[in-house]
Amino acid sequence: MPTRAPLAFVALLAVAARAQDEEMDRLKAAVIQVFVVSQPEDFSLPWQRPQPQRATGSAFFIGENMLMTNAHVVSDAKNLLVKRADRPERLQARVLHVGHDCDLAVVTVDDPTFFEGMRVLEFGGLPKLRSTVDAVGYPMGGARISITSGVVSRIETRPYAHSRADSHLAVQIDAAINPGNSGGPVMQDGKVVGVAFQGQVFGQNIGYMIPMPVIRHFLDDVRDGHYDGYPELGVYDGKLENDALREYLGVPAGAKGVVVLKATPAASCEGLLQRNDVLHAIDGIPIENDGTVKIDGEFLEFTYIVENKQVGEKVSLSVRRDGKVYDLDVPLKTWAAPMSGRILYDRRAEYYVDGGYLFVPLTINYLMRRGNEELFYYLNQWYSTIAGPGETRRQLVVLSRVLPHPSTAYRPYNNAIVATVDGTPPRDFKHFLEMMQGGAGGRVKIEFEGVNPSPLVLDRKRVAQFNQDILLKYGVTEDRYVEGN
Amino acid sequence: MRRAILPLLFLAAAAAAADDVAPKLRGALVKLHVTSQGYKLDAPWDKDQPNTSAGSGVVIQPAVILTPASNVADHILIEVSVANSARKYPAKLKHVDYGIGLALVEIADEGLAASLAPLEVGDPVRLDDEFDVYQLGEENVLERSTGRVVRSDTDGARLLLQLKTTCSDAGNGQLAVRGGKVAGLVVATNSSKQEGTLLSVETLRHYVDDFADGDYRGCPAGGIWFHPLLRDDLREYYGVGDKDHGVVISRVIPGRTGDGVLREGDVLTEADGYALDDEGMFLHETHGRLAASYLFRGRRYAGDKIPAKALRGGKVVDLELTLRAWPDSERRVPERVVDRRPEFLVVGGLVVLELSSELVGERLRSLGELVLRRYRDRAEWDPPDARKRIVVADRVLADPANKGFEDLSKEVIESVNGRKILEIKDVADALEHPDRGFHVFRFEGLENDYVIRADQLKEIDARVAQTYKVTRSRYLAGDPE
Repeated sequence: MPTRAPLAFVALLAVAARAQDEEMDRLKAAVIQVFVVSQPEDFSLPWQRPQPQRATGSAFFIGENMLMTNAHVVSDAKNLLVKRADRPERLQARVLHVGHDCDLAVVTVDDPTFFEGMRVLEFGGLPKLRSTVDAVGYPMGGARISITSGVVSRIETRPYAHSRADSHLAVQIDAAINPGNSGGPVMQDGKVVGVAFQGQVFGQNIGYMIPMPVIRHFLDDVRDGHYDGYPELGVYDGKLENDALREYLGVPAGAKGVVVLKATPAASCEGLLQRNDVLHAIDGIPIENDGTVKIDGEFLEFTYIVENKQVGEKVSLSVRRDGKVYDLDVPLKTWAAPMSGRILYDRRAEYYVDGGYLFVPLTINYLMRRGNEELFYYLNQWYSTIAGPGETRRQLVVLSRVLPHPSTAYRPYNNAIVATVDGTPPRDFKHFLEMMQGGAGGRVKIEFEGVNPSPLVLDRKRVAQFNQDILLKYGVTEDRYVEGN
Repeated sequence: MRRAILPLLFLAAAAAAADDVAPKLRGALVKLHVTSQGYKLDAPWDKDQPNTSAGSGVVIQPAVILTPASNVADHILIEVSVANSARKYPAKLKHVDYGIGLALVEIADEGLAASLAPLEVGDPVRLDDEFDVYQLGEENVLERSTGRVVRSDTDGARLLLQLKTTCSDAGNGQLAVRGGKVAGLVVATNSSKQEGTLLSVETLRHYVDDFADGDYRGCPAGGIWFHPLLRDDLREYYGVGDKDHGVVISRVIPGRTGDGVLREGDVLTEADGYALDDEGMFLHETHGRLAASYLFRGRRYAGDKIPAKALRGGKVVDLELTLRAWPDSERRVPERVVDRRPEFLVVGGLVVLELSSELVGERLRSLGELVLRRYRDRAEWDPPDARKRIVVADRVLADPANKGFEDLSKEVIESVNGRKILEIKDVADALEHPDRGFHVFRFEGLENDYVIRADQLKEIDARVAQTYKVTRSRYLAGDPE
């Protein structure tokens, strides 16, 4: 008997090895390497583009000739190639849907032979804390497929770096997610439980994956052939930890919830909620004083309830206002503000050069490229006051820089925010451009925000004489790009 | 042989001159030993570290020393010592003006006063002029270094001369001497770069003369904002011909110089007899190109009238500007909190202060500070409301009663209990009128209300005071020191 034990052991190992081989074959045929050449816009010199960048990522087969990957893998892509691990050739791919707010995308390959023999990777559920998962993909450090194991160490709502403005459920694993891993599946028990998407710059061996609820939300959304994005409740809320505050707001002892500070313009709750309303429950689930709801034994941000819904659906809020509690059905919308605080991808940078002055709409992309404290301040002000109800300014316009020319004894403007054109504040960039053309007496006077900036006066006739020369000298290929024109 | 002798002769002459000067200086140059102690702006119930430092001054009248104002700021004790003696004598502040940056200190000891001889203020020094700089070094031994003017400058109220100098960094007010007379006081030295700034003879005289007539008026303040007219587009827009030069008035602060006389859009071409250029500079007969703010602030006294010319609607208009002072007490955001305890309140753990330039650092740590800096920069007209001061919740001393508000920092208080806050005493007044049993602080641009139960306030304040060793929970003007 003692001699059989090792035998059985060997057999078991062999079976296990065979199973592993099969699993590897399946993964090799379903986990794809993505080669991308991308060229983001230059928001500093918007008539130019910077050098194209080459990068690789991962993707996996989800059926119906579709591969799932990260939005950031395919953003601003000018050329997209995909390669199976079990075949030598790289084929042209194209993006079907992209969700920048959840960092997911679906791409396809028009050559149907690419998908031959490929097996769909099935989706699983949310992995348990401390359970082991495998990140599969093509991270840097080699050419072949790689599998890294890690333990699920945290499940919580956290910022998604790709858009800079969105937070969703994310799963932290103690395995490094390296460049190239992005878009690859994270597997558990032979099923996909997430998509690897970001690492931690200051942490070692910390990686994050997009879990199933977010993946399902994205796939449900694109089912109609169009990606709407996540609905945005748009509620700034405050905790009700403070007893005096609770009493002041008339919240009875024992009742829990959060206080509404503001309903963001252009989001779902605009006009429905107001300052000092108290939210007690969402879809019947009580909201705790710290703004969490208990789901499956975990305390998650109450906005998580909206995370599982699509645009057009409703969410029910239990609201206390003026001492009365009532139910409010909120139809869900995306956040439609033109300056949403999200990084823009796959969008051309808007600009306008006139008389040697470069004007751009204020975007996060611009701020990240050429921003300063003053601009960040204005952007913040825009959120807290300017974008308030009844405010007509939908976008801020910035005089980005001056292209000096002998015809203008220029003063170095740098990031001056346009306050008015001939006395009228521009509603948005398009409106600004319209106003710049006209002007009584053939002149336009532009005034700026700030302590004491000099105004700018453009004499249309004079500008017309040297505009072309300025564009030519500075290599400005077109004097403007405005969306929709 | 001849060629060797000549330099030797020169050297002998220089030595003789120095010897002449030394006894005069020993009777006029004093060292100030000032122990100062300000208040902590971040914990205004406490005084700061006491600090004793040395500076220099010059006797300009019997028993009266002229010295930079910074030497006496927040002083507790002023002592003076003289050359070649270790003894310190008590002295007291006679007058200080932080606007012009000068002070007069009086020697109490009659014997010492009698042993000193005032030094005369000499002629102005200008670009390229060289002079000696004296101070009393360690053991009160007379030390000499040199300086040379490399640039004339003005900060509005003062005519300043930028120096290359061999001065040490040992204290402000080192004495510049030329031809045996006072040529200025050296401040802001940077010995590693061999740089310093000279408070000019003009500025010293301006201050001393003002004080001498017994009716101190001080420097007028700014308050006129303008745009340069360097660009053709603006010149055309404001109808300024090629031969005309000046600046376009963009704003006149109510109650200050130019109010009611200058209008927005006027092109100011002349002030006090000097022509302005398109950048707002003028040509000074001794010091060359200087900013026009010196004409409004540094050359005359508050209350003086000066002539001015402007282009208005294409025509030249002759104007008379009354130069007005603008004391810190009348500013929404005072420049400095010095020689006095800052006004403050600690309410329910909230530390409430009035915004001063000092409170807003140049280095910004948070958006809150950026907002405060914006207030400082344009406080006098924006927002256009009745506020006398900008009242700020500087920080929160965490207590069970303010749970959830710990992170609040540097927010501008808009109202308390529904009452608009125009200055800090309004906060104290508003606390007499709770809102349905609560004290409710509302902040600008922030939706979080800071709520404290009115009936618990005393108890909370006592607890906070004990926990954080807040020795007094308020100081408002009129409160006992």
